[in-house]
Amino acid sequence: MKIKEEYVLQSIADKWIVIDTNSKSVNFNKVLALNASGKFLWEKLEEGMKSDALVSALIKQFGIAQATAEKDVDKFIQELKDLGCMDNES
Amino acid sequence: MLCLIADIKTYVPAVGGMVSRCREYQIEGEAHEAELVLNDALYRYELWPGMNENDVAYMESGAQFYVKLLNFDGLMLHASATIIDGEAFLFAGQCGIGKSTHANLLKKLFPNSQLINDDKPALRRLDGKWFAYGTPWSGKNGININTKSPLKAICLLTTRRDRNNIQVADPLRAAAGLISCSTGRGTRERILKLAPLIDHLMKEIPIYEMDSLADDTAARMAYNTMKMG
Repeated sequence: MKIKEEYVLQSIADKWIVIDTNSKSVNFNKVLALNASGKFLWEKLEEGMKSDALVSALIKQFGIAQATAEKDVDKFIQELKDLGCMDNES
Repeated sequence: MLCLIADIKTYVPAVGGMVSRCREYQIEGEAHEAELVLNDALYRYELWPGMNENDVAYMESGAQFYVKLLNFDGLMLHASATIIDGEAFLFAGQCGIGKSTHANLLKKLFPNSQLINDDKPALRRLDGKWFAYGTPWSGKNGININTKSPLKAICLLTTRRDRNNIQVADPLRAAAGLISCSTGRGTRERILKLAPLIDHLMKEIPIYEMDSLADDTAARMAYNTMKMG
């Protein structure tokens, strides 16, 4: 499970925006903007980090509870899957 | 032929319709002086079935130019660019959204205005300042003027056409709109060059979004708002 090569995270106008570099046109309604924890998770995912490690990293970075971190990671990965940003191989 | 396009010495192969389109941009000099070289050996005729040689030369030279322009702190925007009182006002948006219509309305309101490009003007950031340029890539009607002007503002036209309303663009919609109107997308490498330019553009130039009835009121509203900058 890894973020596909064609998706890049860029800082534009003080927002972290995910851009599909393959797309012929950027869909106005489907632009994904990430907050600080989203950006953090995105970068770890790009490095190929797995779910368990992501949860630990999130806890370490933001000092949140285990249950919250697990929920956040699951939700984030699901969102990326729905958008088609993830490679399926695990 | 050697041309000066967006203040860049550009070698344009004298192929197809580009000979006449580039006449206004041609400068004295030798091909080896070019800073930016377009190569007709790389024109992809197979990509444009049914198109004649003129059109393929137009599309392919444009495609090469806008990719290479990214190396000169520049981008091409799918937009109509009009100069009024020495400043460039851009209407940007997808095909058929009304860019030309709005440029024509401005022309009617301001007879002294100049439509410098009705399809793909170039924008460049020089010493922290943005300029709009006419280019030989100016769509079907070919309207273009070889000139440059400080960029005043960009108005993204929305698909909503039941009212006149202009506002400072929501940053996310502006980013998405500007990227989708930029002509250098398509690969990771290009996006990595384009995104920082769009970032500068959004921080340095006012970006608006407009729902428009495409009438005189709309044009006046757009101009008055963009003028305030």
